[in-house]
Amino acid sequence: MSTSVSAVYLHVVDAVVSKLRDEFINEGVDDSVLNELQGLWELKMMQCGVVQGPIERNSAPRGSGVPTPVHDLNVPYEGTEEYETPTAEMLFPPTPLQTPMQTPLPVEPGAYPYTPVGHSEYGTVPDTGAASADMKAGKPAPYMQPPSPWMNQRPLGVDVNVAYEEAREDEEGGGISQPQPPIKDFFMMTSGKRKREDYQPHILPNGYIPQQDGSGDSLDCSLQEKNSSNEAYAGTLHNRLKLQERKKADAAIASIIRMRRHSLTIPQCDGFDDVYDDGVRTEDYNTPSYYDPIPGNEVGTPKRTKAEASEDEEPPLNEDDDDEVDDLEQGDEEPNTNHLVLAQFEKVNRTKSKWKCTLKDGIMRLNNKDILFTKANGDFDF
Amino acid sequence: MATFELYRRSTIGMCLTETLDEMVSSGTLTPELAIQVLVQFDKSMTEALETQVKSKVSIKGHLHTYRFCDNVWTFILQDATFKNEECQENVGRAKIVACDSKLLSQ
Repeated sequence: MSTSVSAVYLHVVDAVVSKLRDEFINEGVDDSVLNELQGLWELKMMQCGVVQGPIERNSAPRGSGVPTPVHDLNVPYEGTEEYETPTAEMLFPPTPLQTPMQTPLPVEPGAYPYTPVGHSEYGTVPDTGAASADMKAGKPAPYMQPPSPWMNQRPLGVDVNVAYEEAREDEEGGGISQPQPPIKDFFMMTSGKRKREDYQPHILPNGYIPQQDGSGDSLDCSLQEKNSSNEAYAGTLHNRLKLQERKKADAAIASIIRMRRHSLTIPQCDGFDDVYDDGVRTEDYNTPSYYDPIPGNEVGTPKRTKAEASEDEEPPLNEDDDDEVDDLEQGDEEPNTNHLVLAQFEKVNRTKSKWKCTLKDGIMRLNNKDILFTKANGDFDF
Repeated sequence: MATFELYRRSTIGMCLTETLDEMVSSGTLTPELAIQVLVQFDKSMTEALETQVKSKVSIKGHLHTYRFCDNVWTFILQDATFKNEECQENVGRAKIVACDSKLLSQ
């Protein structure tokens, strides 16, 4: 009497679970974890089509069955635990002050490196930047812009990524517990302007470099305005020397100011000017000349055709001996039909180009079907 | 006792691995426990294949690549035919990974 593949798989699941029950108890893990494991495992197998549901069991007490598989499979997996991927509704249920995440913000889809709601592959991923804004309430933020837009429903800048990254280290469970008033004060305080003490004062909009070496020197102001009258002003030799020093210093400072004013933007170190199209960098990786004016012929592995190779006197390096057809074949086939046989071998031998092998206890995945065998004989010609 | 981990690459093994990954990421399960689950799966799968399965299969095809490394044979077949009592499957390209059966009984 042959058992179907589905039955064998379910038997394996049962065996694994039952043998692990004691282990889980020894570790102090609740039985519900084991049940959840079993449920998820069987759910995935049903989704793959290797196991037919509904699963009927006689031995193991299942009670009402697994909670999750009965759930709508078309909806992304939503965990019931609080540390599963939270949704915006979970995070901000009753507060009317919070910006609802349903507001379609232009940068929202692209701003997050992680897939929002439901894709809990790596656990706690808050899908809203507002959560991060909540958590940042207590932290000194160098940029005041990101928090305020969430309140004012303005489109977000790139800073969201900064805020988001910082928040990721924190568990988002604390996001809800933050009371509203502190956040509000925090936002009102900043009002989007940068405080002078938060910034290095080397680049300011008006180009003014505040003096940090003591009280203001009156000579400086007068020097910058009227150069010609300095000699008349300085009567003694000592003053004249001081004057020259100051002139040199002023010239240096003026040149620095000019340089800084000229390049208020951060100089680009990574190549040619980027084309900005609607605020998005368009990078063309396919045209090497765009970035590198030097033709890249010296670099890389030049692939010589057979004609070129025959023109030279050197023996061909047999670079083309590899079958490129393999790659094409792999690309042509559907990605999920990677036919695979996993087994143990008992004997493998070869006579000239005839290979014979004996396999045992194998699982085959062919044409999206699972087939099990206890013995297999292979005849291949090389 | 060592186990063959190759069955983890099967459909049932991948489903289990994904499930364990999710549970470890969410903190429901510790990584150590997850490894124990996988080891137990290896044992149970091997035992089930020995005891529960009865069918035999014959394989024919053109051997495109063969490799023997670390006591593991890897064959890549082209235009292979897999025949058993019930059905026959033809595939354009198949990969066979086989571990040494003697290693388990040592």
